[in-house]
Amino acid sequence: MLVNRNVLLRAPLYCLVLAVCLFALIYSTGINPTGQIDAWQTFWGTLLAETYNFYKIIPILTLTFLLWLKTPHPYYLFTRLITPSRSLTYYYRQLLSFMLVVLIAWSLIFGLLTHLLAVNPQNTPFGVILTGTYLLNLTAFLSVLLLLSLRFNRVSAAIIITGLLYLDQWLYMHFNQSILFYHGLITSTLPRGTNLATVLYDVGWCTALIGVCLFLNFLTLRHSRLINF
Amino acid sequence: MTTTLSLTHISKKYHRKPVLTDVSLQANTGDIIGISGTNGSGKTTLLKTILGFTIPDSGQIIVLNHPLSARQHFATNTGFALKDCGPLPNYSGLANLQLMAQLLKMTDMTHLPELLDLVGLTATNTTKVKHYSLGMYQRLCLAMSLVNDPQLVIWDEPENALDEAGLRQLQALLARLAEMGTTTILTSHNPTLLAHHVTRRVHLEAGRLLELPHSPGGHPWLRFGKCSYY
Repeated sequence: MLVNRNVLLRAPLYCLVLAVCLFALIYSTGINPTGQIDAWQTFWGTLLAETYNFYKIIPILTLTFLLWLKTPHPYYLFTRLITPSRSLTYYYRQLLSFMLVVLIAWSLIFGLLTHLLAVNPQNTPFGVILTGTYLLNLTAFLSVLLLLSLRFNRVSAAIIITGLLYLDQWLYMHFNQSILFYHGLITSTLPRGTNLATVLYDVGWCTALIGVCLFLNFLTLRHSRLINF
Repeated sequence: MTTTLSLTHISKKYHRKPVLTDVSLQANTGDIIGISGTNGSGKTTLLKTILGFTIPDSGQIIVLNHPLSARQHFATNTGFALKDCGPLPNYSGLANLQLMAQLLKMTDMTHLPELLDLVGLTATNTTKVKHYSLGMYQRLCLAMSLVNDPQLVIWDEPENALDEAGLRQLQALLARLAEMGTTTILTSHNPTLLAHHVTRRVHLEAGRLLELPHSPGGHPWLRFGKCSYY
């Protein structure tokens, strides 16, 4: 089950933290300083701009996700997670429930913005597409993070993912190529708007990356018991 | 008499340091195997390897006719009590047993109060485990390992923190398990327990397993009067 008692107990706190952080970022950038931008532009403008800067939204997501991940109790591991596929389901269920928490937190902030600002109906389709691609990119990012935390420990995972992001930025700046989620993908979607080919490329790339991570996570769980007691 | 456990040429290294070297062991139904050895000799690693928590570098483990592998991670129908792997602190003893039974998908939980009684705890005690003494905690760990009436029981130093009455209950429990045909593998530093209450003794030294001739009552420490556990 995606939502269990443990998720229900922790979700409100994580939702609140993520929502407050995002609202603080939007507030510090300025809510509609020129008087010309609507709720969609404010929301995605801030979120994407802050995503490209590694030191704000990405560390918050990295930290909260690594705290969200729970390693199973030995008894649970011994009695229930007896095969690699069950262990994989256990961890991906946590990943998806975290995505749900992020989605709820950001929906709350978007809801708040619609009360503060107007919503331009012309921007709605683009906003919806960006929501989809961003969530897919986020899933790919969290899959990589999950892989790193399973292969190494959580602190090492946080350090390595930061290094990978800077490497990715360097690749994008010098070779116009990106492996991880946002540089080549969301940035290429943005200028072209609802260009279907770009969106499909983005979706395809993220799906492939998620698939590769899924396979590597399965292999990791096949050859490790991920418990140290 | 059937073979419950078969370890064949098990080796394990941690950071290039050998912990288990070419360990082979067979256990039959009703056996109580006592493993002795100095601190750091690899006793706990051996138990974790049998259970499936630690993956050996080489060798084969067959528990109840099921080889442990990448597909089958853990030993089936096995109960265990290891250090640092205990009950949930915010629940009572009985609640912990009930949770364990739920994990094992058991529907009949009527035997759980009796199980607590066997280890000297009471089902009516609603004290949370975090307020338990070390001895009570150890007793509960032993009870948790027996919730599903397993065919193989693995205990890591079960006598730890037990008082005299607790030790007597442990001995009675061992006898009862042997009577029921359950195979028990335990590590211990208690010479009396190893001398009188196991059917086979093995000794781990520098990762190697040595079978010791077992003669109940004939342990040298007892003969020389060096045992001060009781």
